Amino acid sequence: MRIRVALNVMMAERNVKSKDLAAFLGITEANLSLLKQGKVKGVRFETLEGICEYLNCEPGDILRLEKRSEG
Amino acid sequence: MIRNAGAMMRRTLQDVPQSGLLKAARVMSLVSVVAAAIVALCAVNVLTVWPVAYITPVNWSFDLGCVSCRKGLPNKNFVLFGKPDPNDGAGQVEQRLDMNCSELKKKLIDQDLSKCAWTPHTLSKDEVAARNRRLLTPENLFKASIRTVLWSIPVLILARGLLEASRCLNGLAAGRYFEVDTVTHLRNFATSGLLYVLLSPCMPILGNVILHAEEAIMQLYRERWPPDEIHYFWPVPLDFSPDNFGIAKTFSEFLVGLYALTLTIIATVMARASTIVEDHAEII
Repeated sequence: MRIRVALNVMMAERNVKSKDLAAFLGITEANLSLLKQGKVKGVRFETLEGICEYLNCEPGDILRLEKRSEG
Repeated sequence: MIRNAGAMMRRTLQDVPQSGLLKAARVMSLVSVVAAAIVALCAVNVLTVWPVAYITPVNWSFDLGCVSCRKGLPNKNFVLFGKPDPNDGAGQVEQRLDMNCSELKKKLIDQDLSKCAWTPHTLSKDEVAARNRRLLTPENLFKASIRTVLWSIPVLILARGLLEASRCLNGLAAGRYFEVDTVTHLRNFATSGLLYVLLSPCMPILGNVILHAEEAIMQLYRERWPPDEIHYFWPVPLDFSPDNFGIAKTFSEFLVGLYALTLTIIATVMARASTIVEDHAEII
């Protein structure tokens, strides 16, 4: 999959702890960790909305499309 | 649609009172095990009784085996006079004569052999063919074995399917509705039912093909090396032929097919639903 999750970067920039974000979103830290690693099959709009609200950012800041490598 | 069907099925299962569902599943599981045991016993019965019937002299009352006139050897027809031994039921050859059928007929007229109920001259071609099928020969044992084994294969598949149904119901009783094991057992049950219905009509055809091929080979063998051994007649019950077990020709068989097809569809939906449930669990 070419969609990359940049949640780690955003959280580091804003100095947000996983524990606090997980509690805000109502998910477990384990699931948040999987999300940060991109090891999930999808993200609910509800979760995405919560993340954007907590980190004060846009969905595009968290999810990025990786460019195709040429050749 | 599949997602909706899966959700609807799950909701339906959740709506059913748990205690009632568990009870029903356990009872059905028990019934399946009993049915599988009965079917397996039938198969074992067929596997043992039919070959034994071909080698056991069970009924000497209709005088079969009293006189035998070999065909195909014009100058060397063997004539056997035999009668059953009252002690063990085994046939005893009383007399062996080297004569042809005309001479035998004359002898039968000259002597009062009332114990001989039939002679080759009084039997029709079909009767001779029917009785020849019951000769105790390796070929006939081979034929009996082939028929028996071919008949047993679909029955054993059905027994296995019933056992799979039992396992599936056990899984449902334990509340494992969408687990891979439960769905796999259900799918195996459905597949076994479908295989049973599909194989049942094919087996007699396959059996006929094998037996005809074997007969053609034996015919070539006999033409090259004519047999000179004496055949003894060993009667078996007339209605004991595997040919009498016609399968997949009745309405009940059609219903079994319909049942198997329905189960296959349900199993497929459940398999898909369980995949969706697993995927859904990976969405955060």
